[in-house]
Amino acid sequence: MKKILLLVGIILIFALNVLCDENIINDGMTVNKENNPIRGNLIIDIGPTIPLEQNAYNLLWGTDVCFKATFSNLFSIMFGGKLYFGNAKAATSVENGTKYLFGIQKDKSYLSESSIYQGFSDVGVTYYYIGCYFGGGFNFSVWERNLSVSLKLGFGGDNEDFSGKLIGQNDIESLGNYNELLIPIDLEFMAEAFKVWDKRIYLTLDYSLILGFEFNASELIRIGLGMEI
Amino acid sequence: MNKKISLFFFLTILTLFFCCSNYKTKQYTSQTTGIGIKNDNTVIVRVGYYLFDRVPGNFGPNDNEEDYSVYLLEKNIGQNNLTVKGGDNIAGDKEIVCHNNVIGVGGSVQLSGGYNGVLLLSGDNYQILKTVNLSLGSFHDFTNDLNKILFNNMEYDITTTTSTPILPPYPVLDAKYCPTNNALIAYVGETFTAGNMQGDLYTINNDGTNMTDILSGYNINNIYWNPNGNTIVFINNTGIWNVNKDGTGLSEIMAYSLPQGYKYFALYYDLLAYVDVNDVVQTIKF
Repeated sequence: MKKILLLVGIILIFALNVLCDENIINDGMTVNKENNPIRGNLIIDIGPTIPLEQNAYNLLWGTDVCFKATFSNLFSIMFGGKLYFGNAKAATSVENGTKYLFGIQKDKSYLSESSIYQGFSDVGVTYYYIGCYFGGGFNFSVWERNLSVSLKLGFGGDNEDFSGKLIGQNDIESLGNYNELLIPIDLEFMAEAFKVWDKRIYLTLDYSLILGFEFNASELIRIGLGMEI
Repeated sequence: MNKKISLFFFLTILTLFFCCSNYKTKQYTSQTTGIGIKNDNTVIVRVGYYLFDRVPGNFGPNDNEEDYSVYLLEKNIGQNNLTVKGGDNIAGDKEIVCHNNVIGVGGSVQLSGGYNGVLLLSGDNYQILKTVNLSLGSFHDFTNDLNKILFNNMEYDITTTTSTPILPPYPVLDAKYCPTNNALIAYVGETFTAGNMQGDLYTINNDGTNMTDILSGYNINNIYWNPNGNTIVFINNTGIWNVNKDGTGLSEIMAYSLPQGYKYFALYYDLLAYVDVNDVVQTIKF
């Protein structure tokens, strides 16, 4: 429930920022004062990422470096790279007397022990994903605000490390890891929000469906604050 | 040519995608292997922990077993959490006997001279008070001064390192020193002459003299002396009982039968604890 409220809150802030800010500086893609029909932007954005499955992190940190080429102010293609990172205390669930300790998603990998006679303690998880993508999108304007919607197909890999103490031990040690190659599919909304020192600042809302072969798919939503370089 | 290169890259990526998922995470399975009662409020349970790696293609936990360790855990009555006490080399595999805040564990324990014997541990911090190198089948009790061990049908003197048979050569189900007079022993078993009275209660001096059959026909399983040294609590298949050390004053404290599938149980003078079929420690105060 907290996660849903947080998500709704962030989306509301996002919407208010984009749609209700009267001081927004709008000299971007829809009103291209230059006659160059093709314009390229390098956009770097960073922001919190919310896994939609039950997980340990609640928030990952995500960053996206994107080169976006805009054609005729209407279509754009893009390619770039993404990184998600998180570190947290492992989440737990108990089923049929077995306790599972997991990170990003229980289906992916976990530690397990008896829910009564527990052997692990101080279990932490560290997750990161790194990948590249390419895609295309549409640009349009709503209430004189420049928006774009894009679909991206990517390729990357993730890794999650488990660490903690074994029974009777005082030292933190590695308790295993998993990694896999992934194919993420992203749907991204990007809005030009304001300018800082002549640099356009973007707000992004990015839904990622991360497909893998071995494990079930993950779903992530990322809220980003981007800057055009 | 370009098509071939593209196809090669595509197939390479596809192969990586299908083959490069990998995981290796640690898993514990645990199994209770004994139970004892430390005092009115604390139960000790011995748990074996199997640590293994969960890896792709694993057909069973033991395929990747990495480590096995046994620990003593304490559980306070009325609380769910268990606390690990001591190291993994002091748990033993025989009976867990406790009195006067001393815990005796027997069987497979790690000693300086071997791996079998008895450890007497402090009930406060589980530090080793005494170690005894001894090959034993069953471990019954120890004296208040920690100098003698009662095992099988013998008494072992730690100071002289000698074993003396004092009980009949038939199976002894349980034997306990009288807490106020360690020269007196109560035991459950048979007489020297009769081999068909298993489960009777006897008292005997620790020099093997004055054996007295104080209760017969009750098919007793385990006993525990009341700390006042006057009465003996015992459990059989129908209930928990109390009897004076001379065999008089037999009374049933409560009618009770251990549930089906229980794994281990321990008797104290006012408490019964057992591990049920689901490996959960249950206690009954009486």
